[in-house]
Amino acid sequence: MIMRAAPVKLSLLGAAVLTACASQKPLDTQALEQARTEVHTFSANPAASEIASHELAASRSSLSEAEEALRDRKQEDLDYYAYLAVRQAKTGEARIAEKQAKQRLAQVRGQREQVVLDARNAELEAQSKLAAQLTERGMVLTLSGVLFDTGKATLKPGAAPALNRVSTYMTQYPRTRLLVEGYTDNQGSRTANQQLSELRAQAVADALVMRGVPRNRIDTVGRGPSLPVANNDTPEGRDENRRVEMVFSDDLGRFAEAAVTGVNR
Amino acid sequence: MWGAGEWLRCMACLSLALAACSGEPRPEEDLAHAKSLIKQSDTANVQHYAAAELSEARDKLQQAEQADAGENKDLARRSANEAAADAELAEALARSRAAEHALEDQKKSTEALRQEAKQHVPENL
Repeated sequence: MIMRAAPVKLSLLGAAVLTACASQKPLDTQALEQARTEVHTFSANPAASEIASHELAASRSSLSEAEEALRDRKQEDLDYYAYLAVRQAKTGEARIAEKQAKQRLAQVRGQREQVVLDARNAELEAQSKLAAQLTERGMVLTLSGVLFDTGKATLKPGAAPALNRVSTYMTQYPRTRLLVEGYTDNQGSRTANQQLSELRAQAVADALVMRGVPRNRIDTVGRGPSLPVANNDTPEGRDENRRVEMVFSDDLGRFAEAAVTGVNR
Repeated sequence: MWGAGEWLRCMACLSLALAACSGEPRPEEDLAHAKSLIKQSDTANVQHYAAAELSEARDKLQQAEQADAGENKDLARRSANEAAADAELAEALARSRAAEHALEDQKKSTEALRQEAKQHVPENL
């Protein structure tokens, strides 16, 4: 209606008004701000260029399109490119997170294998320490001297696997008897060593009773520094001599003759 | 002289050429791309780990298809591309979340094993 009156002039005026309106109406830059933050954080990740170079390039390009849309005052373009930039940056971050989680997973798997390996080694070591030997005295299992400190009769925790196995064995063969013999190195007086060897044998017997072996199936004896199995002149030899030997009867409770005399090996 | 057929053909060519020249948005490719990405990412893993992002992608695709049907080609193109970005994000998130989940599981089971081994070997008298 008005247009018909002065078409050219008014349409020019209209355009001017529209432009003025547009420049006054503030653009919603919320999406753009989020995109800036997201792309900035993503770019700052040192792994981005290596692991997610595609997403890095894409999100930066989308962000610059969004910035251009801001300059050109195009709200729709701004929102569109900001949306893409945020998604691309997040996608890139997810790719980095995935890669890093997989790397950690490989590490933890390695640690797990190590734990399994260590446990197996510990068990093997424990078992090798309790390799029973068949002697003239019957089956003999030696708890090595490293399981006692010098001058002490307290068992170290390392003796546990051997004692567990002995108690299991004693349960399986309910008529088997046990002779527990304590030995010392040659350091110190003979009386003290005799006493110490008795205490050591007693400590082992107590530990077995604690594991459910009836006391009346266990005999203990202290043999002092007699019958050394190694050289008492070296610390390693003395370690070996500081020991407890467990002599097993047969499964009817009879000891070999040599076990009873305790001298013939 | 040209017959009606030639004229028609020429007009068709011309209008196609004009459409290409004027850079009028043609959302078909973008729609196809978005659809194929969503189809790819519509797996059990993504449904489990990035359900929200996947459904966002589907919604966007629907918007794109509606806009396309309503001849709003520009909106159709944008929505299709947004849907594609959503689908890629859903897929990447599902992968990273699954990997993190596997890592946590492995950590827990390793720690349990470690505790068990610790209790097993040095039994105190």
